Amino acid sequence: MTGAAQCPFGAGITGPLPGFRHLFGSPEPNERFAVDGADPRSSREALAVLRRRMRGLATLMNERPEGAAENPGIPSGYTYLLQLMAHDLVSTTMAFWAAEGPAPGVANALGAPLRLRTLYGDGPGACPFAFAPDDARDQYRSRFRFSAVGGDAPKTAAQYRDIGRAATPGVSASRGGRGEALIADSRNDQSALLSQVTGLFQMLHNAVLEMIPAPGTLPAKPLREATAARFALAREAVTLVFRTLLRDDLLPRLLDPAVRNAYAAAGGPLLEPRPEPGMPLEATHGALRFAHAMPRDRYQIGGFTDATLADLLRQSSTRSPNAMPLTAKWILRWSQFFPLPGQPAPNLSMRLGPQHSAMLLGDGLFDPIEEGDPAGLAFRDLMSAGLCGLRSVASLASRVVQAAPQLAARSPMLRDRAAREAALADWLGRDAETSLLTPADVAALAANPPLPFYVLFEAEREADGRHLGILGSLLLAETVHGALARERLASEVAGESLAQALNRACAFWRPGWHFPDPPAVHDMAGLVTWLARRLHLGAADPAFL
Amino acid sequence: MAIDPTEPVNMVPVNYENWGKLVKSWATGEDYVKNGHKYPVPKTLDEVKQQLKSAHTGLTLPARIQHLQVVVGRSDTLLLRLPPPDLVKASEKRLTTEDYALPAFYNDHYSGQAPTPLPDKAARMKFHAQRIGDYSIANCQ
Repeated sequence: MTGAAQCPFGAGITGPLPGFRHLFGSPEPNERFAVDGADPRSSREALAVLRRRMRGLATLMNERPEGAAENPGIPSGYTYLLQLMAHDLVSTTMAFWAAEGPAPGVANALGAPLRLRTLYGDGPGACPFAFAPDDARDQYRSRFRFSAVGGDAPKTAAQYRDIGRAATPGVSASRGGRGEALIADSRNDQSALLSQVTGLFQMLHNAVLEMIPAPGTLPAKPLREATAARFALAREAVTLVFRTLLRDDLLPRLLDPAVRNAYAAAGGPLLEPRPEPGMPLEATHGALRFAHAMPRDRYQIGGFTDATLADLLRQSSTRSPNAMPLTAKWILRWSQFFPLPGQPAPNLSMRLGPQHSAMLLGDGLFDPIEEGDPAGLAFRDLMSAGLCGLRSVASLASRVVQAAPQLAARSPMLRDRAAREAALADWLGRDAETSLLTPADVAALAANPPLPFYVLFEAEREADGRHLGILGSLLLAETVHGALARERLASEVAGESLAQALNRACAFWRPGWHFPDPPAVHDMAGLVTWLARRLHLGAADPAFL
Repeated sequence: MAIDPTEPVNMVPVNYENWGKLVKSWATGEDYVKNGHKYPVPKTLDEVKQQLKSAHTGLTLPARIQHLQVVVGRSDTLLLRLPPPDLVKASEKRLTTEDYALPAFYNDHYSGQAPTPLPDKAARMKFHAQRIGDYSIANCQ
């Protein structure tokens, strides 16, 4: 029996991965991430080497010191807006680190990226649980469900601030608690922060829907059509706002300024004008993992001055069903997460660098894959990147130098392989007592670093952690701007403003009608301010602003 | 360095399971962590810090910790593990206004249910005494 035949990953995982692609096309074997020249999926021996090295690297990455630098340009709310965006780009059916067997069936199940499928799913027909009945007859559902914050206080409209949650009768572990998040994409209930950013866009939908005149009393067919059109207009408007916020607020904070300007000028992808369909693995399982370095150890949130990240990750229907819905003290005051005029400074995300919060090691959060593996996200990210056949950093560097030479020239580590390897070796070899990496391991990882690690290393080394470096920026911008350009909504026209797009959507779905108070916002501060005004939440309890 | 007796010693492991495995390794001489590192009973604080990192406990020692005392228990000896008096007083002061915080892993074993908040100072002081009584003689059972 050959080594390849013994490998638990077999040949299937190297075959087609529906919904995914590679940047610059499918790489040749010598263009992929490798361990000592071998594909880590090719034999048990290679897999063992990968696991040992990723254990060492993850151990180094899990040790962000207390007092590490904050990022003044990226308040913490953007960490979770970024996570929501990632969930609207990709939904992997099975983590690569968990996939075994010759054909594990790993695929990207999310088609039509950045159209807020992560919020809407396939709409009220396919995801009825996410939506509240329009009336007692429950013929149609148009508004998102919300749960009132827990506690015994009387329920006012301002207290419906948590996502919808339901009990799961018959599940002994939840003892009648709200163990089921009633949202289209359960990943969006991974923490009290992400669930509330999700809820913010659900509130936007409900507020927009309220502005659109309801159909009234009509015969069955016109009632059905008018209800569907009203929902479709609200969904399109919310999706337009979401995409505008990504383009105008989130991406500019994350990207290197030169890359940001280049994509703004191009109005679409730069590296691959006509790519194959699917999401590039080099982004989804490489660059985008940088977000895992952004969370703080502790947050000022609602009633807490020092809520730990581990606490926040436990505030979900899955992990704490009997503590759901969220109680008032966990409800976000948005000025603590986005910069609002006249309000104290918000929580800031952490500078980008190859180190994660130790809070991610918390009991039961991201347990070891196998005994002896490190807990946390770093090891999972590194193993998935090592097992999905990513294009190597060296290959990406050489392609980027050809495709975008002026941008590549701005990165010393991209244009000079020797300098890159020396810098990496210096970092990787700094604490062998902890990492157990041998000099040979360090040399091998420096020559062929896992992409999620390199993107963070580059950001720290070449951008002081304030934003992504050149390669990380290109991978993110190419993916997001590419998806925005290719998956344009019917009401979007290049060069037009959000207000114009909203008018175009109205003209299509309700000719002759316009939003009386259009949500023409271009940043998150604008969004929460608009919502506070529309939903009368300016003096809400729990505080909204 | 000057020590503030009212400063709480925030010595909370992020991963209690790994911390517990490390303690069991020290106590028995067997390797419970099993990640390639060696875990002998530490002789210095630097060795403690290194092993805490290697075992992924997420536990860091506050700056005020300057000495190490290792006491090996015996089943035929009553080991009275007395907490530092300044910290007992600091906890009592904190509990006049704040609730008693149990480690979150207890919730995982009680259906994700956060403990009911203690209603008043008297209840908190009672629970405080019970907890101190428990851990002072529990012998890690």
